[in-house]
Amino acid sequence: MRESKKLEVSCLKLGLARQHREVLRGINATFKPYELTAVVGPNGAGKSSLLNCLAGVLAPTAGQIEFDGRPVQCLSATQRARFCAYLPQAETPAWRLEAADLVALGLLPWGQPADSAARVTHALKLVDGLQFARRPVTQLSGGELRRVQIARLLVGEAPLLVADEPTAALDIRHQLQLMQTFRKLADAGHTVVLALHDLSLAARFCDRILLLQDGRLLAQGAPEDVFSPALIGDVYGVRCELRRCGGVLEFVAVDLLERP
Amino acid sequence: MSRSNRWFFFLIVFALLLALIAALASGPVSINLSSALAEGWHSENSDAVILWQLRLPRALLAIMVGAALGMGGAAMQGMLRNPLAEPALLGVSSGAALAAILLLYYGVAWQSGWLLPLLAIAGAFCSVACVWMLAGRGASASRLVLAGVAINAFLSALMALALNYAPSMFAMQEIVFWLLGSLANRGWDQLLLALPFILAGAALLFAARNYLRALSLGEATAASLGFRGRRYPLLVLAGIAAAVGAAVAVAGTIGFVGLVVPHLMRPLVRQDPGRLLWASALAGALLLLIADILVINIVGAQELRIGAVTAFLGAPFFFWLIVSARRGQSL
Amino acid sequence: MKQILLLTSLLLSASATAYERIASLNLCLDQMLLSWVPAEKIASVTWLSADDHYRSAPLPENIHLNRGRAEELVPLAPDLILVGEFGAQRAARRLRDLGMKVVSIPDAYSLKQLQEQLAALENALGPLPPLQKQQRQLQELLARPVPESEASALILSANNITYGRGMLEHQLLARAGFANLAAERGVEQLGRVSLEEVIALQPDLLVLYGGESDFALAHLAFRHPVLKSYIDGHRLYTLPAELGFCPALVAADVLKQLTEKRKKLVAQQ
Repeated sequence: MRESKKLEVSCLKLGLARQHREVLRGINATFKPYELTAVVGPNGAGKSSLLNCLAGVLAPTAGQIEFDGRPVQCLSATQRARFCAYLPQAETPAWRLEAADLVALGLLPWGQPADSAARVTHALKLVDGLQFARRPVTQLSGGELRRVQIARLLVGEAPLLVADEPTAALDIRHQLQLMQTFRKLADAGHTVVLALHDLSLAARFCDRILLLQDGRLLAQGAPEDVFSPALIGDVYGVRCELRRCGGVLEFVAVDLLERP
Repeated sequence: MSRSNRWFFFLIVFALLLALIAALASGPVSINLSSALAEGWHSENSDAVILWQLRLPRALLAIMVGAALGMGGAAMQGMLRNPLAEPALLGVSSGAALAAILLLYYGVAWQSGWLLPLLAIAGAFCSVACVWMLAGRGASASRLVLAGVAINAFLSALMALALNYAPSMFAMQEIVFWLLGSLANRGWDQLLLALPFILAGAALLFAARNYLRALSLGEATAASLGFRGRRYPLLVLAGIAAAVGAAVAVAGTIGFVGLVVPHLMRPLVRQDPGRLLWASALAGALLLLIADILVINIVGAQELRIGAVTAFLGAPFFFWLIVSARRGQSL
Repeated sequence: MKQILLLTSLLLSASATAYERIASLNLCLDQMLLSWVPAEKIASVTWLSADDHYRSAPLPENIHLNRGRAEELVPLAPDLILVGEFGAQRAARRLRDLGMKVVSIPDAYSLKQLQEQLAALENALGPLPPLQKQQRQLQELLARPVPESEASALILSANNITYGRGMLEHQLLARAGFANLAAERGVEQLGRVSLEEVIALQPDLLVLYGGESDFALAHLAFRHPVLKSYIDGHRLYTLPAELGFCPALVAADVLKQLTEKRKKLVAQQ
């Protein structure tokens, strides 16, 4: 995998209020190149909101985001889009686009580069999707569509990749395949931020975990530290076990905890 | 663009030229086309006058209005991410027509000059904005059609009311024109009145083409690709309003062009909402010109309204849409 | 000027008809009464006469406007009720049953019928100088031989309608020395004519049917730039709207004006 540009992203006291409800409160976090970060937390914790702020879909109402130490407000929308590629939760194409044409949409922030066809081919190759380049996206399976969408993220070579629940609705084979792809991308120097519900995938593949609850950052750090039975029990109300098995960190949710 | 698609576009342009010749050759009076052409613009010869002052402006108006409607339909479908969106179906045309009726029948008639297209565009803009707010972007087809039907019915009722109380004795029977459109008795003056606004609308929509492309992946993705804020939807709305409003001001509301044409062209541009704009403009022009040729040749001086003909051509495509949707292809 | 007005009003009142409270159930009869009979002798006219589109004579204040119903007229106790051939027939029958004097005046769609209409009106109202004058004028004009047509004309009315053989408008054109191109092309009664046909037929005189000042798309053809040469060349004549609903009032004048126009056109050529 090609070496990419590097980008360090910091959130400083990030806050977001929507319809008089604070969905994010005082988030301080830094996302570094070569790091695969998972944002986890129960439903409604603010994962998607944080990702939307990072991708520039929503504007934070407090604090700020910095790209390599520069506030993002200094960037135009297009410049910012060149730094950050974003895959929202349940992105459905409106038209029966061909896979390659969907991927090419990822190049929009760059205008129409002369080598766009080559870049699309390269991005599809990265996700092992060349064989369905000419198929309409409506005829792809869920896993194939997700791979095409990931190719769309990669085609512009933005250093920051943000994806919201990329593994949702995929079978385990495709889940593993997808996480391996993200792992490889992080290893190539991308700054990768994923929102994940599946904590075992997060524990296994990610370098860093951000645990959110009610819009607050409860804990951040390596999976071993964040996925402590006490913390997980507190946040999710679930008894869990964490064990290392042949170099792979395994997270197992065992049972419900009786809540007082 | 693949080779076969390019070939297809040459075919459409060629067909447009053929249709233009057919339009110039058809009319209640048979004229010597080549000599009339040779006589030129300033000739007093009746054949030349018929060609240059009557048939040519009418044919060009059909092309212009058809292009505006096709383009408006493509933009509307792209912006609402919904293949059922169409300016006439969603009340945009009725909004423009209502404004034009109020101005013409109660106001300053044709002497109004630029006021007519401007007011019609304002009317169109109001109704696009209404549909947009009522249904919301990315609305389901049913919600969209519901909002459109509601606004359209309301505006049509207002049109009937306005014409009913208009001072002219002929006003009430002219509801037919405003609901079905007509190109009869139009000249260069109306063409020149609408042309700048349709061109301006086309330019606005062209400027928004990448936004429409990005929107095919949804609003959030479009925002992450750099198309953030109200600027872009307003650009599209203004473009639709300018093109469709000016067209309606001079030709009435002509349905089905904006609905059917983008559907037909979408496979030919590989579903690209950006290229669909001008492909639909081209095909809309062709469709309306053919419809007008049919109007002239089949029914003669007692003109069937052109909207009836486009509906006649358009309805079978709707049937085909339904059938293909039932066969499992998504709408 | 004042003196002339005074004189005419004196004359009008002197020419009193035998009736003192005349009512009309027909728009055209309304207009004839309002034009030729002193206002104080008119008890009621139809509501249409109050409409700006139709009013040619001034409408006296306090006159009753009827909608063609018998019960409206009974309390007015008219001594003569005029009805047309069509419309308000049921009211006329009922009023007749009630013992009122109801006279039916035929409509006019040709010059001959026009004379019959005026004769019937005189019969009902008694001798009226303005009516007799109109009759005399018409008789004089009709007594003249129909001239050879020296120029061509075509009528273009609202919604591209033209008038052919069998219409009063056609007769007036013919008697003014015009060949009606619509009639020559075989149009009976009414027909349609497109702008293209107007240009191709090249009539010497283009005759519009006027009277409507409000905007309507029906008149779009009149405004088409292609007719500019007719306007600039003064080869345009506009028929008064009254010719459409009450020709008796204007037929003689129209015929005179058309004849003048023809002479001028021929002189130009």
